[in-house]
Amino acid sequence: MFGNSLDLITGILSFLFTIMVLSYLIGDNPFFRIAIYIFVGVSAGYAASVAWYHVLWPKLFRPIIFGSITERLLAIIPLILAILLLAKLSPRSARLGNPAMAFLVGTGAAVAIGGAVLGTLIPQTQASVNLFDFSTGGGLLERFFEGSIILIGTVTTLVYFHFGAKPSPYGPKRSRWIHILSLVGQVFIAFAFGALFAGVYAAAMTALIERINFIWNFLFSLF
Amino acid sequence: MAEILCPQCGKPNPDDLENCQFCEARLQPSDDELYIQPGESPVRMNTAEFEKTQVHIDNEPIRPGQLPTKKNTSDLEQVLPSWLRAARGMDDGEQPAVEQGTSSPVENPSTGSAVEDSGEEFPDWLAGLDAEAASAGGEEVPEWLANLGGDVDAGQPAVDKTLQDSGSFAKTQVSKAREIPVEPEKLESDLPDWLSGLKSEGESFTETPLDDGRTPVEPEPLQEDGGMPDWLAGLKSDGELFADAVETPLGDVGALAEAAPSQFEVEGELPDWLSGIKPEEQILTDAAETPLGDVESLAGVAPSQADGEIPDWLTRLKSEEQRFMDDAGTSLGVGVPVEPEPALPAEEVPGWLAAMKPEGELPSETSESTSGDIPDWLSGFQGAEGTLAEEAKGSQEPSSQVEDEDEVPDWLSGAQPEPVQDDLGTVLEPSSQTPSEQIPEWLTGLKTDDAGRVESKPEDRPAFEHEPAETSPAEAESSQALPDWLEGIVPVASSSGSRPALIEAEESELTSEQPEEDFAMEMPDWLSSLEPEKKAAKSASAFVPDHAPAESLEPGELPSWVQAMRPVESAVGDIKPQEVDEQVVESQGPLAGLSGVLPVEPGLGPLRKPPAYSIKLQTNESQQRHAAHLEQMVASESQAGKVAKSAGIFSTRILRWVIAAILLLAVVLPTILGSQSVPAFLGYPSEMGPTINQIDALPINPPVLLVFDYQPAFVGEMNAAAGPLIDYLIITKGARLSMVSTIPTGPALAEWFMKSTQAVHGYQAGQQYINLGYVSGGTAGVINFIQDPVTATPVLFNQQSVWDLPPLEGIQALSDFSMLIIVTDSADTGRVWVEQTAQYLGTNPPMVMIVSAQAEPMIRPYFDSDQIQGLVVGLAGGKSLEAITRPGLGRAYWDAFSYGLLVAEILILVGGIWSAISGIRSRKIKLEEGEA
Repeated sequence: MFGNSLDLITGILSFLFTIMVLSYLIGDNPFFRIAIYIFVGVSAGYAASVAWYHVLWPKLFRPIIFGSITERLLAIIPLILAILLLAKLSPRSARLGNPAMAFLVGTGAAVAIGGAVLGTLIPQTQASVNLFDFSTGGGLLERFFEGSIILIGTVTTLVYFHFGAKPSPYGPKRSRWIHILSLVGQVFIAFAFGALFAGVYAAAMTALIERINFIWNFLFSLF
Repeated sequence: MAEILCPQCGKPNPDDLENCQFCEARLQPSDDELYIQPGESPVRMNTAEFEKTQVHIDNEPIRPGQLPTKKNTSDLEQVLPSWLRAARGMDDGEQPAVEQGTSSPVENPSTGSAVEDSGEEFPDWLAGLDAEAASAGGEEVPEWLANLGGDVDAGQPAVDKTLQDSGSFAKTQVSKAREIPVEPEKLESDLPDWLSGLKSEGESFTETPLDDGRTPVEPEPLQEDGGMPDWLAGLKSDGELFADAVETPLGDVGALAEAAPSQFEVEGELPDWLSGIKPEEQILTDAAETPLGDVESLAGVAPSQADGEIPDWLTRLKSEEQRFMDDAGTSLGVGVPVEPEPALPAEEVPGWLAAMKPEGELPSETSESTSGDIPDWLSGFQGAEGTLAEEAKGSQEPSSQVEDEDEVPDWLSGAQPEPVQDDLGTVLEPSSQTPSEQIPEWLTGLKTDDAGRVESKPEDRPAFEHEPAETSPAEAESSQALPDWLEGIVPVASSSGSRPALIEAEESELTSEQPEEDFAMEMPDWLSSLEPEKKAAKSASAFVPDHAPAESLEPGELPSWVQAMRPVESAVGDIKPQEVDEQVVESQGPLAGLSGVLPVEPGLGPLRKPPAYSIKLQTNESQQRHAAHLEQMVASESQAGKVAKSAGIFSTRILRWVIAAILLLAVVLPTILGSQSVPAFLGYPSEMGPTINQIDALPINPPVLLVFDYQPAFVGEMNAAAGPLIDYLIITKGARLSMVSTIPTGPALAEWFMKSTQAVHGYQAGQQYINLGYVSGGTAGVINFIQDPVTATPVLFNQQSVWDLPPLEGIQALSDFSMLIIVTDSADTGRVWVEQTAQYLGTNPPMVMIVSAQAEPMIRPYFDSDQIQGLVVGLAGGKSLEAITRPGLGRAYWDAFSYGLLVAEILILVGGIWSAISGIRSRKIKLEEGEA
C-alpha cells in the first residue's frame, strides 16, 4: 500500500485526521478543531496556488509582462478592476470596489437568470406538459398517472407557498380550498424533503464507509 | 419805573425783566400760559379740556337760572385743569394750615362748631369748604379754594406766586376753619396762579383794614407791560375798584371782570375763561335771563396781579365771605355776624366777580369784560350764584335746582352751601346788596360754622373732595343758601353708580328769579352743572348720587357692584307674590301638606322611594367562572410552581452515542469482515439503461470531457459512482478523456480519480487524458468554457499548451466532444452545467451526469425531461454498472452501505414510533391534567 515514504506519510496523516474528525462523536474537542483548521488552511492554500497558477499568472500577469500589446491592453481592464476590488478590504476605500463588484454581480445575475429561465423553467414546464402528450408513446395510464401526480404535486406545492390571507375575527385566514391544496402540497414537500434526506444520508454513509475502509486498510497494512 | 413783584420770592423787580433777579423765577407770563399769576406767566390750558364735559345746552354758555347738566363727576376729572388735579394730590398729604382769618366765628354747618375766625382774609365761604370736609371725615379742600384768600391776609407779604395750586387756597380755608396755622408761604405756593394773582391784587388794592387787624397791602398800579399777566394787569388797572371791592362783600365781580378783559383786549392774551367774562351789565342781564348766567362773563375777568399782590377782588371775596359767613351764623343764631367788608365801587369790581354776585346785589357798574372765553367753571359759578341768590331770597329751602342738575360737579355741589338764611339771602341778593355788601353769590352760598369757617354742603365741595359730608339736618338746613354761582351747579347723577367726584346738589335749581344776568360769564360745565343743595336730608347722603329728573338724567351704566346693591324691591316688585289660592299643596314627600312648595322641576321626577338594591353581586355563570379562574391565577402567583425537570445533556449524548455505535457497527463490521452477504440488485436502476446506451452510441476513441465538480469529502462516493462508468467507457470505447473543473480542488480530485480507479487501464496524462485544470468564474467561467474552451483554458498550469495534445486533437469547441460527463456532488453545479450547455449546445454532445445520492432528487427532473441523457446516482449506480464491468469499490462498500442503510431505516422507524407514542402520551397527560 505504501509504495514510498510519501504514501506512508500521506497514509498516516490521513488516518490521524480521520480519527480526529471522527472524535466529534464524543463532542467538540481540540483534535477535531485542529483537524478542521488544518483542512481549512490547506484548502485555502491549495486554492490560492491554483488561483495563481491557473488564473492570475497565465491570464493576468503573463500577458501584461510577456504578452503583445493587444494582450496587454486586454489585460489592463481586468487588472484595474481587480485592484479596485481589493479596495473592498478597507471600509474607507470600499466605495472604490463598487464598480468591480457591480460588474460581477450584474454578470452573475444575468447569467443565472438567463440560465434559470431558458435552462430550467421553460424546459421543465414543457416536460411537465408533455407528460400528457399521449402521442409520444408509452403506457397511457402510466403516463396519465405520472403526469397527474407531477401536476398535482407541482400545483399543490405552489399553493402551499401562497401566503395571501383574508382578515377574519379569528385572525388572518386563507380560504378553505387553498388550505386543502396546501395540505396536499405539504405532502409532496415532505416527500421531497425525505428524498433529499435519504440522499444526503446515503452520501454520508458512503463517505463513512470509505473512511472506515481506509482506516481499516491502513491499520491492516501496518500490522 | 414800575416794579413787578416776583411770584416766587415776592421781591420787587423792574418790570422790564423777565426773570426775577433774586430767584430767577419768571416774572412775566408767557402768552401760552393760561393761568397767570401776578408777575408770572399764565399757564396755558387746553380749553378742550373744559369741553370734555358735555354741555347739555348745545355748548351754549349757561345762563343764570338754567339747570346745569348733570355730569358724571368721574368724567369731570379729566376736565379739571392740571393745577387743580395737582392741588388735589397735594391736599392728600397736606394739612392745610389755617391762616388767621378776620372772619368772626361762624357756625360750621357740618360740625356745628364754631370756627374761630382767625382774622385772615380768607373768604369765609371758602373756609367753610374745608370745614365741611373736615367734619365729614377730613374731606379734602382743594388748595386753590382754600388758598383763595390765604395770601390776602394782612401781614403777609404780597404773594407774587402764581395761583398754580388752587387747592392750596382751599386748604387755606380749611385750615383756617380748623384753626390750624397756615404758613403763609405754603399758602402762597399752593395757590393757583390766577388765584394768587387775585390774592396779591387783593392785597395790593385792599384799603380797608380787615377784621383781623391786618391791613391789606395796597396793590401797586398795574403796568401794561410789567411783570404780570395782562389779564391781571387789566385787573390791576382797576385797583381802585378792587380796593373798594374789599369793603364790599365780594366786590364787584363785574368790575373785576372788566379789568382783566380790558387788558386782554389790548394785548390779546385773555385766556378763554377770562375772555368769556361779559361786562357787568351784560352779566346782570344774562343772569336775569338764565339760571346759571354767563359764566364766561364772570370768568372773563381775572384779577390782575399788581406786583404780585392779591387782587382786590379776591381780597374782597375773602372779606365778603367772612361777612357772609358771619351773617349766616347770625341768622342761624350762632356765630358772630360778620360785618361784610365794604364793597368796591361798581366800576372797580371786575365784571366776572360782579356777575358772581347774587341777584340784586350785582353792582350797577360792572367792569367791562369780554363776553368771550369764560371758563366753564366760572360760568358755573355764575349760575350757582344765581341759584344761591334765589335761595337766599326765598326761603331756607335750598335753592331751586338748576336746569341742568346733572352737571353739578360733586365737589362743587358739595361745596355748595345750603341756602343761607335770610340774612345771607339778603347778603346774597345782588340787587339788595349795597356795593359794599356785594359778595359773589357763589361765595354767599357757602356757610361758615361757628368758627367762621366756610360752611359748605358736601355737594358744594370741590371735585377733589370725595368724602361724604355728614351734615346734620340743622346744618344742612342752614347751608341751603348757596351762592348764585353754586346754585346753578347741579350735582351730577353718576350714571355708573359710583360716588361722583362732586357731591350732587339735591335740588339745586336755578330759577329765573336768580340774578343769572349778573353772572354772565361762562362757567365750566362741571361748575355749571353744580346745583345747590335744596334739602337738608340730602346732605346726609350728599355723596350718594341723587336721582335727578329723568329728563335730565343720562342713561348711565351702573357698574355691576352698584347694580347688585340696588334695592331688592325693584327686582322683586315685578314678581307678584303667588296668591294663596294658586299655591300648590304638596301631596307627597317630606313636604306633603305644605303649600307654597316649589314645584318639582321636570326631569327630577316625582318623589318616590328609592329602589332597593341587593347587596349581593349579581353575576352570571360565565362571570363567576371567569372570576374563579382569575382568582386561581392570582393564587397561583404566590405558589411556587413546579419546575419541570429538563432532560439533561447526558441523556442526549448517550442517545447519540448509542446511535453512533449502532451505525458504526453496521458499517465497520461488514468492512472489517469483508462481508459480501448482501445480495446485489435484482434489477437495474431505470437511468442505467439510457446511460449505457449513450456510451454504446459513441464512436471509437471519442473525446470525452469529464467535469470534476465535487468536494473532496465525497471522493469515496464519487469514485465509487464514476469509476465503473469511466471504466466502461474506456474499456468499450477507449475514449480520450479531458478533465476540467470549476472548483479549485477539482483538478486534484481528477488526478486522484484517474490514479485510484483507472490505474488498471494505464492512462497517461497528456496521452490518453489531459487535465485542463481549473476554470474560474463560476457560472460565467462555465459559459466562457462552453463558448470557447480554447480561450478559457489555453495552457496548463505549467504553461504548456494543451490544445494540440493528443487527447484534445481536433477539439476547438465544446461541441467537438463526443460526450460530456459531469461528475458533481452538488445539484447547483449540475444545474448550471445543464442550463448553460442546453442554451448553447442543445443535446449535442450528449450529457451524462454522475451525481451524488444527495443531488439526485434535484437532477433527476433534468434526466426525466431529457435535458441530460444519462444519469448515474451514487454508490448504487456505480454498483449497478459494475455488474457489466468489473467489481470495484461498489461491491466493497455495498454490504456496509446496505447494513448502514438498514440500521438507519430501523432507527428512523423506531424513532418515529417512539415519537408518536410519546406525543400521544403527553397529549393524554395534558388532557388528564386539564380535566383535573
